[in-house]
Amino acid sequence: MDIPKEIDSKIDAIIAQYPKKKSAAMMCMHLFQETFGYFDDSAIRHIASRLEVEPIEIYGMVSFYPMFTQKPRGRIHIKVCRTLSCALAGSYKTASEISKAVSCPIGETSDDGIYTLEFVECLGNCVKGPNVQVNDKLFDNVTPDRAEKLVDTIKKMDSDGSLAPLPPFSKPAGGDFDSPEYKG
Amino acid sequence: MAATQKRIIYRHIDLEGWSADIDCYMKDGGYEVLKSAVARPREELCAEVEKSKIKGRGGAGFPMGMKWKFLDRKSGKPIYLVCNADESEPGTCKDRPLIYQDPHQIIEGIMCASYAVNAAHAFIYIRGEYINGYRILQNAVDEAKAKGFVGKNVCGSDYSCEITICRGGGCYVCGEETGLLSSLAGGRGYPRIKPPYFPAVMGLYDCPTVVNNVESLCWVPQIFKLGGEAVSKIGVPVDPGTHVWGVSGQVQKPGRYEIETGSCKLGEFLYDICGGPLAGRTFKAIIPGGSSMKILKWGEKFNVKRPDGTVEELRVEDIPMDSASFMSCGTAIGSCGMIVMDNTVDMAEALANLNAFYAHESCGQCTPCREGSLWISRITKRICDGWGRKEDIDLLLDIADNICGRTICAHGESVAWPVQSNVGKFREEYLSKIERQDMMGGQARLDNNSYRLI
Ligand SMILES: Cc1cc2nc3c(=O)[nH]c(=O)nc-3n(C[C@H](O)[C@H](O)[C@H](O)COP(=O)(O)O)c2cc1C
Ligand code: SF4
Ligand code: FES
Repeated sequence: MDIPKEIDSKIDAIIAQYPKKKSAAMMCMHLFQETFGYFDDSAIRHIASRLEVEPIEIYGMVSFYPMFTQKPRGRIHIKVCRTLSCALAGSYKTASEISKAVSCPIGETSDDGIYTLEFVECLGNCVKGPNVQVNDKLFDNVTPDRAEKLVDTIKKMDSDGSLAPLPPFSKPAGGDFDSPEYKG
Repeated sequence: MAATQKRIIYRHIDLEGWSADIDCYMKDGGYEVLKSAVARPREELCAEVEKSKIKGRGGAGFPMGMKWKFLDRKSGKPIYLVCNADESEPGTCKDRPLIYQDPHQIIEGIMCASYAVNAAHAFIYIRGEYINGYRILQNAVDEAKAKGFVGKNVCGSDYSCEITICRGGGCYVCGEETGLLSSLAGGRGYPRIKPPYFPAVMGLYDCPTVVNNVESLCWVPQIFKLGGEAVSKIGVPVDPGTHVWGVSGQVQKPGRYEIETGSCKLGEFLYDICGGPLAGRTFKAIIPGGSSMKILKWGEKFNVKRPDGTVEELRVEDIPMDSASFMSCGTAIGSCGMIVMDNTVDMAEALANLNAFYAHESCGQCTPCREGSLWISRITKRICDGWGRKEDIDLLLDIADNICGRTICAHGESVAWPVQSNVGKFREEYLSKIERQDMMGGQARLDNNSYRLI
C-alpha cells in the first residue's frame, strides 16, 4: 500500500507521547487499521521500521488482537455482542435477523463487499443488551424484533454519510449513541 | 428497609444538563481537590488512602492503600501509574458511563494518585471498542492540560506528569494487569507470572507500576477531600464505600446502580431497585460479579460463620451486598457485573455461552488454560447441540479442577469457576437434559420459548 507522508508525522506525534518508542505500537496500529482498513506486509514493515523493532513483532500483534485484520472488511462493519447478558436478551436471534436483512452470513463479508457481520464478545454495555456496534457507533436494545429497523437506520445513515467512522484523532462525536431511535 | 441508591462516584451520571467538558466539571468544584493535594506531603496522602480501606474495584478487590505501599520506591527507577479502563469482563459495564460522561473525574483521580505515589508518567489503557470513549478521554486530557492540571507543573507545583492514552485491541486478557502492561509496552498482551512480575515491583518496562481500575481511581479525590477515616465509615467496615452494580439479564429494570456497601440484601436489591423478575417468571440463578465469579442458585442456603464463632444459616436473598458476605458464601463480587437468570434459562446453554467467551479469550501461553478452555467449550456446545453424554458432567468438573492454580494468570480460574459452580449446583438439570437428549436430540431445551444462548 501507499503510505502518505502525513501518516509519518502522525506516527511521530504518537511516539512523542511514550517514554519508549515500542510502546507506540498499539496506537500506531490503530492509526493504520483506521486509515487503510487492514495490514499488508508493507504496512507491517513500515511500522516496524519506525518503531525500530523486527517486523515479526508487529505481525505478532496483528495476529493477536482481534481488532486488527489482514484482509479489508466491508464498509459497514456490524458487530453483534454474543456474550451472556446480550444473549439472554436475544442477540443470537438479532444476529440472524440482521444476517437475513443484509444478506451476509455471520462471520463473513457480503459478496458485494459492503457488509461485514461478526459476533463479538461483551461490548461493556450489558445492561442495555442486545448491543450492536456498527463502525464506531453503538446501538443498544436491538432486540430481535428491532433488528430490521436497525438495518433500515444503518442504510439511511450510510446513504447520508453519517455512518462513516470519524478519521483517526477526531474530536469526540456527541455521546455514544447516534441514532435517537435506538437510544435505550 | 427498602434498598436505596447512594451516588458518590456516579453523582454526575445521567444528570440533567451535565456534559463531559471541563467547564461543567469545574463549576461543580472539579479539580479543587487536586489543587489542594499538590500542596500536601505525599506520605500523608498515601496514609489517607490506606486509612480509607477502599478495595480495588477492578475485580480482585485488593486494598488500594496496601497496593501503593508495596511500590518499590528504593530502586531509583521511575514509577508509573496505569488506569485500567479495559473493562471487558462479561456483565461489567460500570466504567463506561464514567468514561463517556465524566472523564474529568477520572483524570482528577489519576492526577491525585500520580502525585501521591510520585509517578513519572500516567497511562490510561482503554479497551479498543470504546472508540468514542477514547476520543472523549483524549479531549478531556487536552482540556485539563491547557488548564495546567496535567503535564508540566501540575497546578503550579513542581510536580509534572503527563497522561498518555493507549487503546487496546479487543483482547480480554489485556485487562489482567500484567497482560495490560505487556500490551502497553508494545507487544502481544501476554500476562506475566507473579512473582517476579508484580507490577508494584516489576511492572511497565520492569519499573514499579501502580495499576488501578477506573472506579478505584475515582475514589482517590473523595478520600483526599473527605479524609480516609470518613470514607472508611461509609458502608461496612470490611469493605467501605459504595459499589456500582451493573445488573443485566432477566430483571424488570436492568441498569447501573450505586449503593452503599452492606446497605441492603441481595433480595432487597433485586426487588426494590431492579424491580424483581420479569412478569410470570421466577429467579433461578445469579452471577454476582463479572461472569467469571461463581454462580449462586436462587433458593440456595449457606452456613456462614459469624465473628463470634456461631454458625448462621443464610438464604441467597439475605446475603448482604458487600464483598465479605459474598466471599463467605463461596463466591465474590468481582467487578460487580451482576447477571440475573430466570426459570426460562437453560443452564447448559448459559455455561456454553461463557465457555465460548473464555476459550476465545485465552491467550494461549499456558497449556491447562489454552487446551482446557477449548475442551470445556466443545463439551458444553456438544451438550447443547444434543450430543451430550452422561460422563461429560464429571469430565467437565475434572478438567476445571485441573486448570485452577496451574496457570500464569487468573484467567485460568475464570475458566474453571463458572464450570465448577454451574455444573456443581445444577447437576440434576444437566443429567436430565442429557437423558432427554437420548430421545429428542438437540430439541431437549428447557424452554423452547426462550432465546438460544449459543
Ligand atoms: C483475566 C482478567 C481480566 C481482567 N480484566 C480487568 C478489566 O477489564 N478491568 C479492570 O479494571 N481489571 C481487570 N482485571 C483485574 C486486574 O488484573 C487488576 O486486578 C485491576 O486492574 C487492579 O485494579 P484495582 O486494584 O483498582 O481493582 C482482570 C483480571 C483478570 C485475571
Ligand atoms: S491463564 Fe490463560 S490467559 Fe492467563 S496467561 Fe495462561 S493461557 Fe494466557
Ligand atoms: S454482554 Fe453484550 S455488552 Fe456485555
